[in-house]
Amino acid sequence: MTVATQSLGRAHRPSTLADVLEVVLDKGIVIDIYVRVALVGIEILTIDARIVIASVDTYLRFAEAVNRLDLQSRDQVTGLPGLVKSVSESGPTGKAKGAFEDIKGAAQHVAASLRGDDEPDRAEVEASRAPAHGGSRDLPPGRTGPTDRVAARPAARAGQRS
Amino acid sequence: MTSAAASPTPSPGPQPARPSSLGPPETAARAPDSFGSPAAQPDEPALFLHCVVRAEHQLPSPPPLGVGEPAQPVRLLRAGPVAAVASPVTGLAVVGEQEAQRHLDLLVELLDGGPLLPLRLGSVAPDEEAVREEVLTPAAEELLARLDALDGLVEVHVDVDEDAMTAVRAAVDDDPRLAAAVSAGGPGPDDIDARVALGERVAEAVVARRERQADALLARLRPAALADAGRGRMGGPEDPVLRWAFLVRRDDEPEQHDLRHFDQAVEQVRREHPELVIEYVGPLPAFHFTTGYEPAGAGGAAETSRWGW
Repeated sequence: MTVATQSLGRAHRPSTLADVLEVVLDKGIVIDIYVRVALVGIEILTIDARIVIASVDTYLRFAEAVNRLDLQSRDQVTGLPGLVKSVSESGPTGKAKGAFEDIKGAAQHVAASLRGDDEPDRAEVEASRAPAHGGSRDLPPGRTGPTDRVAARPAARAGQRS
Repeated sequence: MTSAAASPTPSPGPQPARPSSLGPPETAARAPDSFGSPAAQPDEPALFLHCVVRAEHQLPSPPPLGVGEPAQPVRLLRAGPVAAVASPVTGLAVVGEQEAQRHLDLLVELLDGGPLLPLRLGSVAPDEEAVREEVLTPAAEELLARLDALDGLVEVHVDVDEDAMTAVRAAVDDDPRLAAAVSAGGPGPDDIDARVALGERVAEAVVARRERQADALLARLRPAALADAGRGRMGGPEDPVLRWAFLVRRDDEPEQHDLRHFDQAVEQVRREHPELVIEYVGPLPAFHFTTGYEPAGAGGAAETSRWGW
């Protein structure tokens, strides 16, 4: 799988919808005297959510990752890039962040147990409400956040169908 | 294509639209949309603008389909030395993912016919005259100069990422004190402050690793490009390693700032860095170099990086 992807060399277009949007949104020239020419509404959430500010949540996940280093043999880790590749193919913009999703999930369970909350589902729900808990601490890592939001929209499904 | 059936009334007038078997399809009176642009009233024919090209640009034959439902072939609207490529649309209210994808596909297709300047996604004109008067004529010389500057040049994107666990392991291994702290067992699960502190040190080590990686990658790729520019945030603890645009010549050139040599440079980097996931996309229109460019090494044309390159 990894080999196949790499042997493609250069893709002729971005592989995911999120990457297409990254290429075309807010790019291109605008002449500054438009009177009758207009910019119609862009019904696409912008991708600012990619800006993830390092936070306690981030650090906890890195600490959790370190714990996992101890648990995993090095052989397993060297095999990871191939695994990550397959993860990224299934998600819209998973890229190499697949493994980190697991870390995040683990960190959430840690956080839940710290609160004495034995119900993991509730921790997940809380973690998905990013704005309610201030800033970006609960955003998915890297590039996955905006895609998830875009993909949840009917228009996005229509776009991906074509 | 509703013009053939449209009656030659000078203005829509205050009366409600009269249903007519000859007229364009009318929808029931609807509430005003949230946007109020004069160019994009629902059910009014309009022109969705894609890019500016030189007047002599040859569209593929037959012309590719543009955006809209149903999609119609794009048209070339000339004014002096330049022209706009536009999709005739009716009732296009908002731009969604489908339009964005089609817009990009179209630009890539048109790139074969010569240089182009992408117009901002969502630019819509009410008619051809507005395109000529407001987009082409006022800036014709400037647009032509920019098009000429981009003749034969294309943009490629390199996105580099690394598996988080690989990055964490390597970053810890590179830092003896951090490695010692980790091998000592680290803080217990109940010591949340110590865990945050350890995580912060790991995150900083990962960031430092990403910056070194980005430096190394740019050092290998820049010699094969005419110019380059950052494409967004990167290098943070949860960001990609590199997200960069490079400007290259489409055809071979003696200085080797061309697509073929850049391909080779990317392949070489891939061989040297099996730990990295490198996405390489192109040729694309020169989105990041529409206002000209400075030679590689003199700084990106469109954005400065957070490291002040």
